[in-house]
Amino acid sequence: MQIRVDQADEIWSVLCGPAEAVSELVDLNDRLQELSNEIAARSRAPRAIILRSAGRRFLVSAPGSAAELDAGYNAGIQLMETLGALTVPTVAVLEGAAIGPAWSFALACDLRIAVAGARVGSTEVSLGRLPYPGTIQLLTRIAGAGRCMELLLLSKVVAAATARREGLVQRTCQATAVDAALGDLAESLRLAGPVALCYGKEAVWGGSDLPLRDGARLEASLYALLQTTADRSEGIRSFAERRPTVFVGQ
Amino acid sequence: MATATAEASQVVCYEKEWTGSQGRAIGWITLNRPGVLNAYNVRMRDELHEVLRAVHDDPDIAVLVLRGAGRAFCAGADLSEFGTAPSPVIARKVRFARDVWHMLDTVRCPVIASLHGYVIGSGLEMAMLCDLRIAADDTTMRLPDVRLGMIPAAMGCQTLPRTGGLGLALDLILTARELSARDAQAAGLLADVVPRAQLGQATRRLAESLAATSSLAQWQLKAVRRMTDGLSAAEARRVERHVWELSGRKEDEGYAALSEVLARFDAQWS
Repeated sequence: MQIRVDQADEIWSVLCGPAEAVSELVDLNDRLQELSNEIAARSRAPRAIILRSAGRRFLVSAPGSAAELDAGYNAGIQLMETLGALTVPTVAVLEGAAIGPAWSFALACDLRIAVAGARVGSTEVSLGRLPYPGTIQLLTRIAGAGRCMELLLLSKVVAAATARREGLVQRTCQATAVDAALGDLAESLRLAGPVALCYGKEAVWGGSDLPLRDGARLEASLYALLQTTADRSEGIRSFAERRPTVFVGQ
Repeated sequence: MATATAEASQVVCYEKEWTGSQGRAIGWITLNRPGVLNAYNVRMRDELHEVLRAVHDDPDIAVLVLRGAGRAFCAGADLSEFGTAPSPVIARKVRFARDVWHMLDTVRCPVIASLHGYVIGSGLEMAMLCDLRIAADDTTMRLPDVRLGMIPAAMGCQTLPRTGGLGLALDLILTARELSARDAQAAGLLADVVPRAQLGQATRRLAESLAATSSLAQWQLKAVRRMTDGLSAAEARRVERHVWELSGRKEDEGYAALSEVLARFDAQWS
């Protein structure tokens, strides 16, 4: 499996596949694990990881049979967990089809950007299987319980524009404008404090597993921790002095 | 920046207005620092705390409305006060000692946010703590916190995913992108969008219609929503049943019984 990782910038990009079978994505899982370890060891986290494939399919082809889904199960479940455990914001770039496991992997990222003409959805139920574990919870929390059941029970595949309208993807663009759209997104993330990005992500995901009251406590604790960071002082100072903010990621 | 003399009057105005229905009133809370687009400061927190305590203790209030005076609903926290708390430890202690966000979330009657102009940062978070949001077409929403090295901390990381979905919440919080009234309505955050000139009237109509149909059921609905957050479906059903069974009593008995249930629920957190 061809995987190219670009860490030249504070926005890391991972270009992978597309693979023919989910089992081939073991390599991607290993590479993401390495990046995750590297982030844990660094004093300064990257602002985001962008996950993208060459061509018109995201990560892996649409599944053709239950047997195919069974064969990819172990690799699939691992990749879902690895993506969910990344502490920095993740962005999936969908330049064509993200169907079946590919859509599950996209849902496990924080943000999704899709080109006009892209199609997304989980078709596993029509093949007699559930989507890989985690998908149902993710889709419920992203699209709402009612829409989640409709999409999964009917194995619906929807166009980018519909996905955008329903909040399944956060940005759409023309196929020829992907780099520009990614550039805009990257720019808005570059303006943010790296620690704040990680904590914002943690406050949202962590809180979504908790009763509201506990979620509010988690959020307030992370906020209090941020108050001790150099970045937070710099954020306020630069705002007062009306100059660009220079975050050090600490 | 507004000076102390310019703010001799209250920065949170509160008015209790009786409606045509016997014993039912609408509470109007107005954020009132129009010179600084109603930027939220310590004084506003303290006055809001007082007002919300009065609302919590007042059984006549059938509907509460939160709105902003001047050109904006609220442009967010007053950054001139940031870093003035003695330490993060004390700041966190005060956050829970004067928990106005929890107080807003736990008002027993329906709460409407009436939005216009800038609804930024804690302004948007405040609106998300209300039950219904109605907005003028000139409304602009944004959570700029990460650009200052911070995160939304008025429960916005909790309320936004619950109301607008995880994808929208992460997008607004991580990229600090702007959300127009139309986009917010499409995402399910707003009950209605109206021309700016009609916001006052539309808000009043909404408040009056809720007040006219005010009943224990509205309070029960809010109580169930609050008490079942994060519960399993089976546990939530038990709570719903328990609260449902308070129906059909004499009116004041029903309210008193519900208050007791809520007090017991809240006691487990303190």
